[in-house]
Amino acid sequence: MVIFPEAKILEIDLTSGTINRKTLPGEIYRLYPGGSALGLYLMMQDYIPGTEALDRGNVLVFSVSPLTGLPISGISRMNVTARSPLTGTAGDSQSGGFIASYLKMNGWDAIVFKGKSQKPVYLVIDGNKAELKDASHLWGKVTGEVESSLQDELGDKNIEVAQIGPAGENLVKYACIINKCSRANGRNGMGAVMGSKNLKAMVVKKGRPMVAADTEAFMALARSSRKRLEENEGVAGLGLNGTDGDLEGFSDSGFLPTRNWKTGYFPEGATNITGTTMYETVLKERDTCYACAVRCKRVVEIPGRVDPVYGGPEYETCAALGSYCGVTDLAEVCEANMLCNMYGMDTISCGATISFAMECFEEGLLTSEQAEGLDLKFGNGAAVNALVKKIALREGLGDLLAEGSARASEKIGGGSEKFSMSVKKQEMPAHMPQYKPAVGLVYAVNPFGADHQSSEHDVFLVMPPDSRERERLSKLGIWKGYDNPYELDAEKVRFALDTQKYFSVLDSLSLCQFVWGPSWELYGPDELLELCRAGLGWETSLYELMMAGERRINMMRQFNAREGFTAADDTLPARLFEPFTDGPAKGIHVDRDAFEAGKKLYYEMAGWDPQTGNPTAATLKKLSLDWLL
Amino acid sequence: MGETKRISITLNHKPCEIDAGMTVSELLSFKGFPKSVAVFVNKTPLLMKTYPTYELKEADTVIVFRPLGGG
Repeated sequence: MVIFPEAKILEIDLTSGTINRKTLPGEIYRLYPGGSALGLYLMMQDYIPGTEALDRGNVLVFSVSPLTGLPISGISRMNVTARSPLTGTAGDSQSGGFIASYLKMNGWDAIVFKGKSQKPVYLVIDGNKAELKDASHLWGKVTGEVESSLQDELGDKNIEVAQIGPAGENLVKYACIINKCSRANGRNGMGAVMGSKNLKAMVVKKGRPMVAADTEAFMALARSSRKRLEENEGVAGLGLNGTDGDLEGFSDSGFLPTRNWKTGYFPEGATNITGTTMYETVLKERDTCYACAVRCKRVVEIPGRVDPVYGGPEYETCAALGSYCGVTDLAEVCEANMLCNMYGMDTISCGATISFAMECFEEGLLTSEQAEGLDLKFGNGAAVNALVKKIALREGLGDLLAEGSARASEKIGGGSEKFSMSVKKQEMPAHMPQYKPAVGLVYAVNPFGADHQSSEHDVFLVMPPDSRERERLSKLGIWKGYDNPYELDAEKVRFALDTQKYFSVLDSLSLCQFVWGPSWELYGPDELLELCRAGLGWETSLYELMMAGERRINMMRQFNAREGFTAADDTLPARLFEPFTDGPAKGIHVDRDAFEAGKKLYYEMAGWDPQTGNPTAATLKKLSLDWLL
Repeated sequence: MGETKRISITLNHKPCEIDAGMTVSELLSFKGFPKSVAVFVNKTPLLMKTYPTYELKEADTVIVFRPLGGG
């Protein structure tokens, strides 16, 4: 039997400037096997309940997993955990790139930041060495400038930099953490937490490559990616056209969030901003994460306007800064994406908050004077891009919108709260619950607000029983098939919960969900077990992994319970319960009775109190979480 | 050689004319759909393994469902 490795942790007290090296025993690490679970465990050791997200007492954790850095596709995701300033819940966000692998190559599983530095600093990690350096000269600079400055300053082009832009410095509630100037720990405002600590960046030098426990078996698994790509047109299409490849299909089906979710139909703009158009027009190259064969990342270039240093827009970005705002011009969307990456903001919350403002403007709740002369009508891409900068710098109306749509609506009043398309104050990503009601249920109950990467999507239960998708899903549970995705019944509730546990363990093992997910992806659940065995010598089971995923969800939920969150916070915006009035999906809506019944059943299946929606003592004990009682 | 006989079907709620004897796989290719889709003929779901051999008939109502993702 292989002993689970211990976790190696760097703990930085930014107040005193001291750096400690700690280890977490393998028997504990195995319960929280990296990424989000490890980050949450470490954060909750030191976080005092009631601490505000932007207070120095908040604890910020970067974490990876024992698998990170092995040379195989989808292995390099970096997790960031802290209390979220946007939602007030346990906060959590993952990003791709190379930095996660570099961190592990230097020997570290987690970096814990506590306290607050008196002046701006950045951390440099080089093997066992870690040093805080003055970042005063970097404060106020955009991400591209900072990355370039740090490369020059440290005399090393092979560094990876996770940093905040001016938005994080200005404590924009949905500021993100950017690496490679184009990969974001986007959601939950983790960049604002970093800014509140005067921490500008974390630099990681390249380390020694990781070696698998069973090299031969591991390499067989890694080398199979080429054949798998040839045989899996879904993943191959993802590589070719990026995550934005289906945008036009969403509109054609009537489920592309458009003009602040008033409709799902965007015939006037969908073709312009879909992934195939991006491929044919502004794509400079396809980019990748460490050791990944898929190459789904975009790099776009529009000379004189959009710098390829800042990558290119994902589907969520094209929707949030495109169709949400009624913007039909791909160049405007690419520019908005670049600005968000320069200033360091989550493109989803940023676009959705601007679309909220546009609806307020069109409904007369925001005046031209408040908009400072900007014509905030849907479709005005130039106004969107002007607002992106104002938000990052907290100028004028941007200062209000930097708080997110839910808090902004409290100030604007006049019934504007119904225009905030958010859950737990986090703006919704571009998968409509009318189309995917199980995803909608997870939007509502998810501990850190609406998230589309927290469970498998309903549509795969429409696939035939002999499809790859259904075959793989059967490893997690047997579900009946559907002839459309729109229903929410008991089967779908179980689907939502069980696939949520699986996605939760992927976020813990720091794996990419497009490569290691449970249905259409490059590798399936069987290969995940093989990865753990061959990569680490860890003879695990799906049962153990699913329990780890469930443990993470319950830790978050218990964190939230301590902060006063209840079932009343597990809601969806009212607009989703109203039938579409146009487009191919006309008449379709989330059935409120089915949603409420589904939520109640979800609580019961999850072992949560049906009244409060919080984990029962028995559930926490079942998951070895007695220490949270 | 005689002309290929044509038949009329309904595809995703729209009328469509195809060659008689066309299989589901051929229809998917002809219309540019990916292979990983769900197909319902006259409301009956088909197994994927039947796509290459299932021949469509006059007046069939065909629904092709493509699961949409993105991130």
